[in-house]
Amino acid sequence: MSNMIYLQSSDGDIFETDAQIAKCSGTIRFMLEDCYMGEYEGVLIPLPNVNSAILRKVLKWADHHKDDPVPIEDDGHSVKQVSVFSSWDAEFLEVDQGTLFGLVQAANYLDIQGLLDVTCKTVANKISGKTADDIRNTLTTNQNKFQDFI
Amino acid sequence: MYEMPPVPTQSRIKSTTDGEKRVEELIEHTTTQLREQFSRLEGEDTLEHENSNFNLFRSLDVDQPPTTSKECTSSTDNEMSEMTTIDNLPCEMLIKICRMLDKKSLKNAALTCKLWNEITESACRWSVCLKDWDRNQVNFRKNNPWTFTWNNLMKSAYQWLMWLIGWRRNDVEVQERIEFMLTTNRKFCDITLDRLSLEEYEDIFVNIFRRHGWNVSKLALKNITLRDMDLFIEILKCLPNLKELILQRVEPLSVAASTARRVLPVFTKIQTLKWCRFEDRYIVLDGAGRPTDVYILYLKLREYNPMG
Repeated sequence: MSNMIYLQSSDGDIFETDAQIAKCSGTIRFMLEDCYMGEYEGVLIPLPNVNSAILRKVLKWADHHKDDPVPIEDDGHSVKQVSVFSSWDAEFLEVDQGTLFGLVQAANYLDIQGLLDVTCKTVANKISGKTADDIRNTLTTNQNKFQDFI
Repeated sequence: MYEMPPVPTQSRIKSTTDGEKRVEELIEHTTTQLREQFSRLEGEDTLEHENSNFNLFRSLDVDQPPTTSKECTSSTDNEMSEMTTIDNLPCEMLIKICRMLDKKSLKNAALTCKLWNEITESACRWSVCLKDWDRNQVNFRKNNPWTFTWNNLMKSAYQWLMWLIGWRRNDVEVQERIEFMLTTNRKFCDITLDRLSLEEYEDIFVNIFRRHGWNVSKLALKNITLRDMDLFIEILKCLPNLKELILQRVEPLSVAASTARRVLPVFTKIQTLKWCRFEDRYIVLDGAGRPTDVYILYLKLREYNPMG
């Protein structure tokens, strides 16, 4: 059975998606199960913190990872090291920084652990092996902003 | 929250020649626009602050008075909302990213700006080990020098090899580290003392622990001779947040009993206690504070029975 639901981005665009796919997001899952008591056929969920471009990417990622096993919830103290990154993920995350940070933000807001791990790891990879100046140059578009805080 | 900037009437008057009525209309139009924009910016700003603990760069932008032309403001506004930079990420995300970095990159990240410095401080547990390799010989074996076992032979061979390839650390390095500990602002939560004589560096240690004491949650003593229990307790008094205490090969071997008797009743916050090698047959754990985890590794009883 397919339960289609609709997600509305901050720009007002509406995305149709399978509920099973959307449920990889903890936020959406809780909303569907608690607010709609499991009867969520065709509901519209507004996501005011995610814009269309980012939501499209997130859905693409969720669609690709829909068959992944559900991660075991740990207590949050142990930092899980994501050493293996699938090549699909690596390719998926070859995006500009605005999109990458947007994805981190969206994964945080939507509570998608897997996406959060890979995106954070990608940011960490961008930082690692660089000098302080390089980090400053790569991570900020406007350098003057950073210099105010040195 | 923000002051309204003076409405720039001059430019508008110059650019319009249709008469005073037109000018008045324009002024009214721009002021309402500005007011709208400001109220929106204010709303956005407070909202951002609720979401993330800091948004310094964003609020900086808001402080600058917006330009009067409508097209210009709307374009920068769009850019700001579309382009997510690392400054927009909430603190927890930055900490998560920091935890994925290796030590060297972390140091560099800490050097980028104040904010990141603080984040790296909170993201990681810095640990330090004060170790004096030269005391290798002086230390343990002197109690029973005739235990010429295969194990000891291997150990001395290893030490010799290390010395040959220049891995031996000398006093200078220990001194440097101690100097560093006395001057740094880095918050260490994990301090290990290895092969150092507490008595020899008494004042220095008390100073170091006075400086870092509040942050330290884990203290490990390895290969140390504790002649002066009072000094040890003096040091522990500087560590109000100590949660884990590790005593590994600490002489005299009766130290376990004295820690159980004198330390544990006073320092109730200690949750984890690890002893490695001691001579008491049984220890009474009593008093108000009782550690929840006690690990006792009691190895090689016969070798450490020098009284016999």
